[in-house]
Amino acid sequence: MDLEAKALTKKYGNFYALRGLDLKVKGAKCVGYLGPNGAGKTTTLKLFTHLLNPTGGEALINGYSVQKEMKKALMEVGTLIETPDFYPYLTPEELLTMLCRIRGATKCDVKHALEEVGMYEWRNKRVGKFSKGMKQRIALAAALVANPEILILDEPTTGMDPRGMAEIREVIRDLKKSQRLIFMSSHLLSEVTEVCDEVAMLDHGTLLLHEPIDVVLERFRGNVVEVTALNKIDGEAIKGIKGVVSVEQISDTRVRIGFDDGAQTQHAILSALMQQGVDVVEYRSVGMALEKAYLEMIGGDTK
Amino acid sequence: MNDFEQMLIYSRYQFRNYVRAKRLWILLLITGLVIALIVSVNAYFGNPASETAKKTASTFASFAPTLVVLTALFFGGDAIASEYQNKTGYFLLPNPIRRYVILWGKYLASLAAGGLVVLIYYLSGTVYTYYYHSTVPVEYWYSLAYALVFLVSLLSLTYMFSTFFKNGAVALVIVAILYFFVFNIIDGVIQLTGIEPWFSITYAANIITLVFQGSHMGDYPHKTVLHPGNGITVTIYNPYLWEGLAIMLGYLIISAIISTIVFEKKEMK
Repeated sequence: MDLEAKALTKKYGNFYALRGLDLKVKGAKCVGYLGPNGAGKTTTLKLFTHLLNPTGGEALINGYSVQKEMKKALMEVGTLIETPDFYPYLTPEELLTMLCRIRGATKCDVKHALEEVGMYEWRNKRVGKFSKGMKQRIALAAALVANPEILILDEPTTGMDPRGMAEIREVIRDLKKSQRLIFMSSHLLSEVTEVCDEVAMLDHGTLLLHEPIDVVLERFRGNVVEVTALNKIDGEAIKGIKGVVSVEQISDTRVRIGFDDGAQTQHAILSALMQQGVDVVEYRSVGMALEKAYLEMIGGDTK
Repeated sequence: MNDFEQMLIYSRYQFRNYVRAKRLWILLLITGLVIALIVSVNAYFGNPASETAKKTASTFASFAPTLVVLTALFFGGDAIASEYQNKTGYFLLPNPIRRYVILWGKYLASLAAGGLVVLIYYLSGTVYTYYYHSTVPVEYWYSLAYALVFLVSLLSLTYMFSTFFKNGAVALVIVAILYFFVFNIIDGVIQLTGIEPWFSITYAANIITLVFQGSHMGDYPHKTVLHPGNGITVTIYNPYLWEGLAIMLGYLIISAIISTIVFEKKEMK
């Protein structure tokens, strides 16, 4: 199972929404697709799902061109693009059954899909009365119902409350375990860090990075830790620890320590604190590595 | 799963959606009110029992063209535009189903819902005519057949307009203006030019009522020239029955081709 963009380009007048994207994702994994508003994320996903036609290049799914062999290309793909709406007088059960029958899917399980997104008890209610969050859950169920091997998800937790977001992330984690390729755009860096194996970053329609998330996290690891202890922390004593470059005393029991090297130094600082008799209860990196990578490569605000 | 099977499945669910929707019930209510109006006005001001069965049936059929226009508007005006405006397209389009299958699957559902309304109306006319005359003239069944052909054709044209827009309300209003005003104005103005309006679908739809004229079907003047004075000449054309059918068929084919091409190319931006 794979998704491949070959010099994929989408142009509106003189504006490039996507400029010669070359990207290949393959195998059972989750790939986070990051970028600011207008970077071209949704455009990419729409090109892969036949909602847009490319100006140049090609979108391939499992080797089939989405533009030339649409039915074959999308046969093993479940999609959630933006927040779709549904025919208001049909029920979730009817909508998903219709989808299964249209796809001729043999692996369909409407009940399981609705249970997974927490909508089974609403299966016989008309969708027209549902809230945006409920519709988003139904949309995810629609992506899952035919049990496809590839999932293309566009900001899947949009419009959901915090509980809903957590539940959907859990669903995505479970999906990863069942050997699927998940290609997911998101604004939420924490979400991508939590769920994905690889990350691709896009800005102004151009791909800036595509690497395993561990590599990105290591490369952009933050060199600041925040320490919380049960007893008073002596900031001056910490300055003497090898590799420490700055100490900011936040309160008697909390300090923020800057250091000049990688994980080894971070570990050495913790050991030294323990030796100094500091009763450490929390020791954590400040600032996400992915956020740092995002800011360095793209700049601007992050959510 | 072949395209035809997909079309039938989609159409069935769309029909279910239409049947539960308020629109169908509103249209049925309008139809019921019109039926009540025809029956009560005829009973009060006329004497249906003393007229011919053909006359009674033609009174009923006279509202059929307007009903077909309303039906096409209700079930086709925003049919495709709403897929974009309401974002239902995001649910269905990214699936292994061709655009034309969605277009014509939805069209079939609209046709079934609209056909149901027209059939209910004509059924009422059948009961009404039979009640007074114990018979229903054969022209009435031809009128029904022409009304259904008009529905097939006008719905196709309405779908074509619907594919041009991304806003359902705009599509609905523009199509309503076209059908209730523009086509009628063209038909009226063209009478002064002496040209036969063979290009107008509403002109073609006149066969729904023309079928009742004369001693036998088709027994009516194709062209009547009037001179009302002041040097004005008015030429009134009536389409031949075959001509009316041919015009409607032409509209069906041309609008079907255009709407299929437009919808295939249309992007969900």
